[in-house]
Amino acid sequence: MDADSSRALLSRAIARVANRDQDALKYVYRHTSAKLLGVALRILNDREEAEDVLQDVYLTVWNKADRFDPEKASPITWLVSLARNRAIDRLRSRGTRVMTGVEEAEALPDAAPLASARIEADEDRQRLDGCLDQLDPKHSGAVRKAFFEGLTYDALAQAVGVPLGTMKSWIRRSLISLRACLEA
Amino acid sequence: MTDATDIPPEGEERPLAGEYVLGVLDATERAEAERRLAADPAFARSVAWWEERLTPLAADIAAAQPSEGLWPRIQAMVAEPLKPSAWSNIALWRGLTAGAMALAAACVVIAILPRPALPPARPQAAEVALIADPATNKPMIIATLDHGMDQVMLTPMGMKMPEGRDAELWIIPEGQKAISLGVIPMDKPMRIPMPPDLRGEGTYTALLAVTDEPIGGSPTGVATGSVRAAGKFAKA
Repeated sequence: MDADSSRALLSRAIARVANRDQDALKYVYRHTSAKLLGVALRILNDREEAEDVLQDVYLTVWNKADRFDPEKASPITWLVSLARNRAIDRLRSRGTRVMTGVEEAEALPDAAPLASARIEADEDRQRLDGCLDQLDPKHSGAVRKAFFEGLTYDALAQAVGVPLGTMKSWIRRSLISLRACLEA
Repeated sequence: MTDATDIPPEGEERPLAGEYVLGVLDATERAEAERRLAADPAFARSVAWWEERLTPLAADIAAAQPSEGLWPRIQAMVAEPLKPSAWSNIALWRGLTAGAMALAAACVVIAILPRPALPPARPQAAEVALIADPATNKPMIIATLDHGMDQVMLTPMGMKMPEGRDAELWIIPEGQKAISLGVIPMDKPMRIPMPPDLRGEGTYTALLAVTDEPIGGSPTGVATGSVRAAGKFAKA
């Protein structure tokens, strides 16, 4: 199925969820839960916590499906953002608990996109990649790491091994450049 | 954080919405951004813009299959058998609780297992009520009568409320309206004073029910949320 029709089907299912249709929620779950679990797991590195996040996400979908506006956002953006936000909140609430695997994760390249898991129109992705490619590779690497792992400036600076101020400057400059590039 | 490194690059505005979406803000800044998100439509538009632009990165994250039990858990929580309008329909309540009763015999053993957090009283079967999810009949709370202390002991069995909602316990004496017994915790046992309606014949006819309500309980004294669990004391 191409990205446009899967997006349309997902949007329609979310609209049905707003009418308290449990089968529609099941459809949304079936088509997105593996992706969202991957997203939450990447941030939390803990399956149990990541599944709790997913539970919250689908309950939020159930309770707030009417807030989703297919004219304004793509369904997968809405869902991934919900999952990332919940996972990041959970990560923050852990406080200073030391995470294992941060350094190993640093050495690993991001898994190549799975053809079956492509979640956005290629066009959007290509545009973002094009803009990321214009950044210093160290800076775009930090942006990607931040997105994937939900790390604070502080944790990001430590993980990459640069001073906090340097990391803030990298990320902020990157965001400003990306905004200009993506708006163009 | 207010050190000098917070100063954004010369002449450039801090891209706060992008920082929020990227996820680099600490808990305090994040909470601040979320408050602004709710109050400032321009900021909210900016956050939505960044979400739409950055989310394609998630395509690089490997999917992970959730465990088999996750969907049933979610399904049980969204099962919505009754609207508040069904509150007065006692016949419906009876039907719903019949299934829970059938489980009572099997589940009583759970209630009398020694639990370190609870006093050693061993309630009789007749004094145990399973307050069960009406959709799945899964017991959510076990209520036991403690006549010695003149209390009802409530033991939650893994019940969960939607985010931002409290569990409120109600008693519905036969043919009457629901009376609030207050907000109850979902993570630990609790004792409440014996409601007058759980004495004598009322012991077996009054229905106990749990609804999800705004934090702190229903503001009106009348149930406003969905019925999450219900049950009666079974007559031995």
